[in-house]
Amino acid sequence: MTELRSATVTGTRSRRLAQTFLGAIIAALIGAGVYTSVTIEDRQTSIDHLFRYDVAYTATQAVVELLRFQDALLLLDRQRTPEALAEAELRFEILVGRVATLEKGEFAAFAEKTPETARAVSELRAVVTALDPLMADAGPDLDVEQLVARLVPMDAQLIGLAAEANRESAELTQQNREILSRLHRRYSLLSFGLIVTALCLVAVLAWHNRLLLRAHRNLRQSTGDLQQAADDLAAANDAVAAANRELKQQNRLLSEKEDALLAQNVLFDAALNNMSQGLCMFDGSMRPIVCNAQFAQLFKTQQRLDCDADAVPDGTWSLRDLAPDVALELADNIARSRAASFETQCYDGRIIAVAQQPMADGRWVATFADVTEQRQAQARIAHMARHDGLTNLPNRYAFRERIQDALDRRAVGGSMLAVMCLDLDSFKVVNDTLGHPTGDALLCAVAERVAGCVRGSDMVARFGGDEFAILQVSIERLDEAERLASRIVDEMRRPFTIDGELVFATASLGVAIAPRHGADPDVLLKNADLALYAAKGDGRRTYRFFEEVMDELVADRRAMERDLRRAIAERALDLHYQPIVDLRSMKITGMEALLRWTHPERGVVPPSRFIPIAEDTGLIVEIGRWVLAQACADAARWPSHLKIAVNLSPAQFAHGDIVEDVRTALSRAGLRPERLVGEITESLLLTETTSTLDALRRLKDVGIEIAMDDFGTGYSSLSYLRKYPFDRIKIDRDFLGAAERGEESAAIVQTIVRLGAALGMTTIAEGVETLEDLQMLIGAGCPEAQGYLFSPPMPREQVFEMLRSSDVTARRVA
Amino acid sequence: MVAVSLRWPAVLLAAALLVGPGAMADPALPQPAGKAILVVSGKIANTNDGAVARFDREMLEALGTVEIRTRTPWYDGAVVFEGVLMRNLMSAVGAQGTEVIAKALNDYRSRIPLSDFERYDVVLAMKRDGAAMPIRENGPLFIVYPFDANPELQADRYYGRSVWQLSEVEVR
Repeated sequence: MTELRSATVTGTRSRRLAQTFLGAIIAALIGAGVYTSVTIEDRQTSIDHLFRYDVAYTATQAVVELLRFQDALLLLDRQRTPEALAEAELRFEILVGRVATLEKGEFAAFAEKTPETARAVSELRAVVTALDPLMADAGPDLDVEQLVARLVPMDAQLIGLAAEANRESAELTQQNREILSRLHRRYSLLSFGLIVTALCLVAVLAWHNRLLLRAHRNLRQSTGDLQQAADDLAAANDAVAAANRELKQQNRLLSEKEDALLAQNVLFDAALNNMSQGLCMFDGSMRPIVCNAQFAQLFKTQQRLDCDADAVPDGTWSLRDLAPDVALELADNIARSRAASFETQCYDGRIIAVAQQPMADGRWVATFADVTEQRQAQARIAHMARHDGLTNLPNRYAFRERIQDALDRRAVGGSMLAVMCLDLDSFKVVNDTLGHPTGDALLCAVAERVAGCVRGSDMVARFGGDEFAILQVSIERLDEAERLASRIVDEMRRPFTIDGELVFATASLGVAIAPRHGADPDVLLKNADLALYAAKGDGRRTYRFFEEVMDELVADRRAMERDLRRAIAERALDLHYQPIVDLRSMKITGMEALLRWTHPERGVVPPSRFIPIAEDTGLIVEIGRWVLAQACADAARWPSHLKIAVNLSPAQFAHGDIVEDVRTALSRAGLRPERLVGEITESLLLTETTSTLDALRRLKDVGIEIAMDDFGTGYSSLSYLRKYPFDRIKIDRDFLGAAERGEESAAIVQTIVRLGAALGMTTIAEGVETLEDLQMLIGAGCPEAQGYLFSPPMPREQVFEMLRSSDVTARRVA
Repeated sequence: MVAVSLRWPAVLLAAALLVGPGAMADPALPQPAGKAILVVSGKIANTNDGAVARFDREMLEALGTVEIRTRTPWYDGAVVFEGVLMRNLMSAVGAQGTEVIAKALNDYRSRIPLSDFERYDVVLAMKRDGAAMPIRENGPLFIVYPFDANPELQADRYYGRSVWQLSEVEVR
């Protein structure tokens, strides 16, 4: 590097020198150029001067013109013609002009240089001035000789002048030539100098070039060195960059791993602390390693656990310090090295569900959950599924299961068991009249009373509503069941005290005995129910044991239902009409339509048998619609003052559109609405609903009359009469035909009639069969009546016939 | 295309107008009323006496006169010359050559290229300092170059072409 630098310094110095030389030479060249220009300018000036105006020629021309004038004069002297004269005059004029020329301008400058030439010009001027007057007056007789004589001295003067001008010209030429040759010498020297300078320039340039070459070589060499160094550096740089990349890569990987770990950590943390269960990781000796907030929360109330949500397990306590039961189970499973799930009740009552799992390194992880509420809810649901919510008695499901269980046991023991169904006789009335809260209280009291009648091994259940069931197990003799049934019925006869009021709620009971009446819970229940039905049929407040015939009755009922359906389809039902008579005029005021069914095998079936079936199955809706249509159609053909009374079933109100049916029947028959009387029973009002009341009102709006049938048999609540817009009251047949009741009946009938009259209702007595009845009714003031005394129900044709043949007066039995 | 086709006739018309004046020059010259002082001969288109054109003073003056003021080798100081431009004279006679031979009364001759008349305002002087020039004062006609206006003319070549006492011009 030092050599390189010294060489570079030397080269630089030499080049600077060479540049200085070059500058000097260029300056010299410029100087030479300028000088050459000056020299050339000088030369040009000299040459110009050389070729300027030629005085010698002018002087010579003057000589020639003088001679031509003399020649013209001589010619004139010989010929004496005007042409010759004109020629002479012209030549004179030219000569004069020449002399004038010699006197002016550059020639004058030349002529005045010497006295001789100046004198010659002035003498020439004198000669021509002297000749001028002569030439002006010239004529053919011009004295030519005198003129020529005068011109003689002019010759010498002009020739002398010419000679002098010639010498002057030559002199001038010589001077110019000398100037030129001097210039040539200078020019030659200058050229030589230029050549030398050019050579120097070439030499210096060559030298400079060599210096430059050397510098260039040095530069190239140093460039090579630098290139080499740069390459080495680049290689080193690449290595460093590669190493750097590698490091960055490693760093990035590490960073990513760290991020992943961090993220995982966060996830784990979040997962741990957001899981619903408590989690704890512990070693073989049950010392905790990690636990989450829920774990701490779970055992926080434990006095011995010094661990809260943020506490890091410090190994100073073990899981043995938790609930001992949990710890015992955990330890047991650790000893057996097995995963396990278990539930344990702590001493504080909580139920803890634990799932325990061994880990690869001999550690354990366990989750803990407080399932107390869950278990309690489950127990509650299980209880609710098997018990009645109101009385807390077992329900049908539990009862049936218990029967099955008892049957299974009985198979081993050999004893009998009794299944009883109990039904309150008038619960609906209690509910309707005293309200549901009272009804519910009554049900609870009944449950309590019945439960008091049975042994601990027996079971009392409630199926819903007022249906109860009793299971009596391990009975050896039938009278044991009979005794219980009797006792329950007797107990139920005693009134209940609900909210300080006495409530009467008698019960009916049906009993089925296993295995005699069935070996299946469902069969036993069904048979007990049939027995209950029979007990109710027997007038209630009693009990019945199941009998095979009850089953037959049910089968008979089914057959009748089937036949009834067929009868409807085949239009085998018919209407009979019983006249209603005005007791004062003894004239027929109307007819009550009565349904008749003549069974192809059984013969005439009374309405009391098939109407309940029709009501239970809903067939009554269709039948009722037909009855309305038929009765209206028939009545339309009767005299217009006769009314037609049709019985309306509660089912028609509940399941059909009774108002629409009535309207349709009237319009199809073309019957005036006021001729139709709809008869309803008290039972319809027992199921009092807004829709029933609404339907009655709408029927009144249509224009028909409403009659209360069978008044006096049921509750005969006077409030009904006030509440509903009845037009008629029909007194039940029970109040007639009983002479033994005598005075009492008459008083009741009289009361009803008076009541009806007070309320604006017509009273009609039913079932008038004897004269005594008639007399009693007339005595009581009853306005209308119907019965066998007047006429039994008649087929439609017979009614038409009767109406045609007579003026419709009641048959009087004399 | 329409514009271009319309333009060509216009160009041709312009060309015809430019050529026109030369073609319409009057070939005939009037006869000199007074004494002829200049004879132009040689390759000329316009004549008035056979093959030559003769001019008197008035005819020359009719060509239009100009004045130039210059110094000369023949007079002291600057002199004002008045006369006809030589190129106007050449134009008047319809000169068709390359040079002229100028002849003087004293039989002096000088060859002058016609290009001199185009390049310089060469005057055929008829008056000097406002007065007509008689023969004895180098008249009546004197070819004068504008020496002061063009310094390159101050050379023997142009002094030699300055012919005084001019009597005849032959166009070659």
